[in-house]
Parts: sequence; structure tokens; C-alpha cells
Amino acid sequence: MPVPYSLIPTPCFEETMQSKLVEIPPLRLVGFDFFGDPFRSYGGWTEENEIGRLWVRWMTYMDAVQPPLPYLVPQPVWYEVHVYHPETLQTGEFEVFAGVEVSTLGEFPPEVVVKTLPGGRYAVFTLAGQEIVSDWTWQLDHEWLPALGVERCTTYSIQRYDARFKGMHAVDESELDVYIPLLQ
Amino acid sequence: MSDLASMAQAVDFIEARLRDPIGVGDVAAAVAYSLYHFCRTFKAWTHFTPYDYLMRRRVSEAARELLDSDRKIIDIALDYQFNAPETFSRAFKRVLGMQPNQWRKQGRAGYRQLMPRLTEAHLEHLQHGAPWQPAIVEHPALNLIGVMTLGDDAPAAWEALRREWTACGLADAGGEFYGWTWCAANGTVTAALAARVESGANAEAGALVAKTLPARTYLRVPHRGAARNLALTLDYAYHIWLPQSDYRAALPWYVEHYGAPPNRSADSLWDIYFPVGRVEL
Repeated sequence: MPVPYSLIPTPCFEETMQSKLVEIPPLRLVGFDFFGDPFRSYGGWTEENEIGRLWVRWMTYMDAVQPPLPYLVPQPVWYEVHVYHPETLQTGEFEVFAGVEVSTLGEFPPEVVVKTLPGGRYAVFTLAGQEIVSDWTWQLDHEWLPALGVERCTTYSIQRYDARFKGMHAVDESELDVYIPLLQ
Repeated sequence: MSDLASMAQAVDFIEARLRDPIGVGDVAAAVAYSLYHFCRTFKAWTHFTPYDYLMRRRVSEAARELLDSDRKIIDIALDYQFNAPETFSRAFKRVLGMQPNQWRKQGRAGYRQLMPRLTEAHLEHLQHGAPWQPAIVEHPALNLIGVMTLGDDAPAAWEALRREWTACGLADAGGEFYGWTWCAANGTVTAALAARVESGANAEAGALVAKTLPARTYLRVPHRGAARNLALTLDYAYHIWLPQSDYRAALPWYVEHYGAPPNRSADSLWDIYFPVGRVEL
């Protein structure tokens, strides 16, 4: 579990915005991934785009796979990771990973992608309601992180979904944590 | 700033820099969006990914220059940021279906082959014309009898059609009215306003002309909105939907099917049929 080592008051943010800096161990995830422009099929907010289809593919697999995948962390938490590759700023194409946490990097079926994200210092922001579908990444880079006096590693970011996230159909009642790796 | 204004500004930014070494990240930053949110929003408003739009517009402008100048192909390719002949050829083939040297040999652009820039009017039409529900359909042969027009739906053309129709003693067309627009090899655009008849109907009298549209595969696109926005729907079909599908325009004409004479209100609706063929992979 993340260990908050400081809670930063953030009066310049909207009142709903919660942020904290944490130190976390490496995160071991298994799931499926996709590389490309995830909005090639559909723009806007729809489960029909490549990210939505990735989640459907992964959830369907998780429900059906026998025997069940080993080493799953029991709590129902889901991760979406965006990884920027060297060509991302040129083409708008990047990697999207959807999956769950595992306790150990054991053997997994070949169709499952195993990803280890570095441990270290992260800024954690809790997005609520319409913030989830806003351009929060722009605010992150131009308001939130400068207000915290930290700089981020821009190659990846993590979205952590738990029971507080009710789905895109109920985004106004949902909350979502984003983990932003910081330059040490 | 609204998403519409921002995306129109993004298109302007791209258009002004087709020859510059820009990437999608530069465009997003220029309109103050994160890359992620920009890609999501640009696609929603333009129906293109930003990179695809950039590449298609670069190829179209390079293709235009190939026809308008005798500069070396490689020089034009480099101008538009294709840093190797192979990269240019691949992109060119993907967008225009042939190699740059074949294109130059062809000597002219085919009917609606070159993609024009998108404008704010296109973006608005793409939003307000929604939901877009194009469909590939097999349509039986269609016998039409009508009058030549200047390609518009002016009341005078409708009146001429009714007058000639009545003079020839043809039965009531029952709302099955069509507009047929075609482009000759020399680029001249001609149009006819017509009504459907059973095969064998007499079309020899008066100023009427007869046309038979062949049974074949068509792309059917609904046109929603004012008649003056028809050009925007044509651009949607030819330059947005078809290039991103497995089909291409097969012949230089299209047919509009009106349930009744189209009005000029903002909520008119009729179908447009484009003859298409499946792309050979």
C-alpha cells in the first residue's frame, strides 16, 4: 500500500482536489496492452475506443481464464498505465496497459503482459466527478505539480481504479487516483 | 476557449506548418491541451487522428506540387518532412493508391482525389450532422428521367421538372426524386434533377433526359442540415469516411435521393449514394 510521507495543503487547487506525495515500492502488474493512437476508432468519451476495448478484452479474459491467474493481490483494484515512447510526441501514439496487481512475478501465460513499474516518489491526485473527463494532465503539468514544487518523469503515469470508481456512466459519483512518478 | 475553437486553431496550426518538422505534441501544446486530451478531442471533432490528418494533408499538398512543378520528387518529399523516398512512397500509396512517379505521369488529380484542408465549418458540420450512419449497400439499377440543372436545387429547376414531367404524361413520381451530379474527364461538373420511372418509360419528348444508374455497391450517407452544407457532407464522404474504410470512390458521380423536394431549412434530411469499390489489398 502507498505510504504517505507528507500531506501538502493545496489551497490553489479546486476544493475537491486532493493531493499527496508518497513513496511506494515497485508495482508489479499483469494485464493486456495496446500501442497506437487509442482514439483511432472513436474520439470523445466512449467505451468503443481502443482503451475501452482493451478493458473489455482484459476483463473478459480475467473472468474466463482457467486456472485463474496466480499471485493476484486480493483487493479489487485495477490499473491503467499510459507509457510514452520515443515517438509519442511525434505521432500521438503511446502504450496503454490495463491490468491488476500481483504480489510476485511468477510464471504467467504467454498472452499476459507483465509490467513492473519503478518504486519511488510519486504525486497522487484524486480526481472526482467531471475532473476525471477534463484535461487534468494539462492542469497537472501547468498548475498542480508546479504548486507542489516537484517535477515529473514524463514517460508514464498510472490511473488506479477502486470501488470509488462507479464507471463512465456514473462519472459524477466516481473518484479516481492518478499516480505521477516524480524526478528524484 | 471552446473545443471547437481550439480544434479549428489546431487545424490552422497544422496547415501553416505542413512543411515544418512538427509533431502531434507541438500541435497539442499550441492549443494548450495535454497530448492525451488533444488526441481524444481532435478525433471527436475531425474524425481523424491528428497524425493521420497531418500525413494526409502533407501528401495531398505534395501531390499537388508534383503536378504543378517539375521539381524532383525527392526534393518535394523532403520539403514535406518525408525524410526518405521509401517513407514518402509508402505514405503516398496509402493516401492516393499509387506511387509518386505514377501520379506525376497521370498528369492531373482525379475526381476529388486530393484532400482539402478542414475548416471550422467542416468541424461544426461534423458535430451537428451527427449521428453519422454511413452504410455500404447494394442498390438495384435505377431508371431516372429528369432535366439538366446547374447543380443546385433552385425552385426553378423543380418547376422545370414538374412542367416537363407533366407534358410527357408521366405518372406522379410519388416522392421518388433524385439529383445526379457527375464530373466529366475535363473536370466539368453537370447535374440533373430527376424522378424515378419504371424501365421503358418514354423520355424522348421535351427537354427531359434519361439516365440509368447501374446496379452496384454504393456508400449511402445521410445528409442532415441545410442544402447549402451539401459540400461539407460530400467532403465527409470523399475525404473522411472513405479514406478510413476499405472502400474508395469508384466513379466520378453521386446521386442524392430526396423523399420530397429538399427544403433549405437546417433540419432537412436526404440520402446521398456514392458508387464505391472495395480496396484491393
